[in-house]
Amino acid sequence: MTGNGQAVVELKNVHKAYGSRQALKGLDLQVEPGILFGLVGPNGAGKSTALRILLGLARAGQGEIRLFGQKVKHVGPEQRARIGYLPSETEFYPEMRVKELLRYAAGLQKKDCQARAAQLCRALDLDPEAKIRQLSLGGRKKAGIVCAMQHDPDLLILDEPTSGLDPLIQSVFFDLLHQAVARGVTVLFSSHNLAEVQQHCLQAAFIRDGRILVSGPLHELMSWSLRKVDMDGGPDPAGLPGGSHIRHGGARTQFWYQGAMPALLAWLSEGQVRDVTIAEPDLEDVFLHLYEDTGTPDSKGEITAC
Amino acid sequence: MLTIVCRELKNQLGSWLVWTGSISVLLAVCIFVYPQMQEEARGLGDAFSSMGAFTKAFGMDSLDFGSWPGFYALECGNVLGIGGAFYAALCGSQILSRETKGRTAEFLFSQPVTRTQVYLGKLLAVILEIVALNLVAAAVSLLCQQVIQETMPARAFWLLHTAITLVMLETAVICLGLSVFFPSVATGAGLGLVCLFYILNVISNIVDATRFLKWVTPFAYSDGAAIISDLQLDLPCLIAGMLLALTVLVCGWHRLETEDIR
Repeated sequence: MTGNGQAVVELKNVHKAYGSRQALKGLDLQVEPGILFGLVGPNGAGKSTALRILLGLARAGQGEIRLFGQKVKHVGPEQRARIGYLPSETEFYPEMRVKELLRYAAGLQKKDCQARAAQLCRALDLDPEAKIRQLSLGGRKKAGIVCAMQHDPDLLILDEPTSGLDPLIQSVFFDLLHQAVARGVTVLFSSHNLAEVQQHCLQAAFIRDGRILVSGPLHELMSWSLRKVDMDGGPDPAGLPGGSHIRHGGARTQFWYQGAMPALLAWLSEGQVRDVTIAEPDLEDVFLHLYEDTGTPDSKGEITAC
Repeated sequence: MLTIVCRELKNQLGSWLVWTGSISVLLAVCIFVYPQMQEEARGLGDAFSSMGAFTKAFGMDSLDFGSWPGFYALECGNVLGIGGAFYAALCGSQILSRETKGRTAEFLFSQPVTRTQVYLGKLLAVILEIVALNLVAAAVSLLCQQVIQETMPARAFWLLHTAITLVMLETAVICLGLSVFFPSVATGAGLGLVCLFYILNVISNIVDATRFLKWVTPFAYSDGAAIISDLQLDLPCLIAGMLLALTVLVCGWHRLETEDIR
């Protein structure tokens, strides 16, 4: 925690190139303290690169990085001591036992984490005596979660943390995250799973092609002007300004509408509409809308209010 | 950093035991063979001393192969020097590159340690392993010499063993530095480098026009024949070797500090 309400994570206009490929093109990201924050985007959007820059594993080409309220040129051990990190591809030393790995990580953290590690292993049903090489992907993921959480960090950075975990353990894992957040820990995690972001995160950001498209409280993201309209009869929405993703099925027509509500209602009232349902989009709809070329928000990535 | 050193020493223990055991056994075999082939060795020495380039290549123009110091410097020195250099190359090339190849680098470098601490921790572990191997080898050698009732002059013995230890350290340091640049081929490159160094030393001994190669290869300053006859190390060559190792080490460190962790 920053102690003064400042953002725990702040990236401003961060660029990163791998050879000729621009992975981040002026990424702006801000994560408030004490919340679960979801970073959502398709493969190759720049999620992992952004997280790796926050760990100092990758060096930003340009831009400003602030962690725990402090501007940092290169993220170093002082910052990493307060961060718990779970990489997307969780690989450890195959010859080690889980308990040796946890002891090694604790040694590098210069902390006695035995009690907390044992508690986390019990919660996640992870055998500390198991050899790393004998663990499944899910088992390695659990070991990674314990490594990331055993030293009670102020910030948890988790790159696709639930891949490989069964639903029961996923539920336990999110319980642990919520408990951590209740203690004031900030959690930043990337995910493809929109349902879990919708269910657990207070705020989220959508990243595409190295830039943040939209970012903010989840209820705002899901209640912006985008609406799903399902109507029986009525005119063709192709002529409706703000109408898109039109699908016809028998007498019914479904489409997305982004714009002012009175305009939609006026358009509907002019047609021969027998029945209509106007619903808020779920996160998946928002995601699909954002990542369709036709549905990209304005260049600043700002959310238009209803 | 101590955590990294301890972890590496523990991780490398099995490999260290195998290599130290093998080299010590080979060293003991060479020593125990001497009484049986003392006479043959003298004859061989006479034969080798008139073989022109071959004689020069292995320093037998300045060494009595039939004498115990001469036999020890050539046979035992080569077993320890070449075997040890291969071990040093393996240690140096793998200790950091296996973090990349095993994809554990992301775990290690996301901990609150600096890249320099990781680099130096691994370097220190390699140095300790090599020094320990050489101490065991020296102890085994002294014990075996007691058994066969032969004694190397103390100064020659310790100079030879110190030189071989330094060859191993130089090799390991160069391999560690290079492994930062070429992690995926580090092991092969390290072993190849030892072969190259050895061949360069032989060539520089044979062909006068290539004497300059002795500034490149660490085997030049561990040449048993020269150490036994001069009772001192070739200090300029040693300094050149250490400078080369230091340069590669610093280049590797700079690369590690600036590159993205893979």
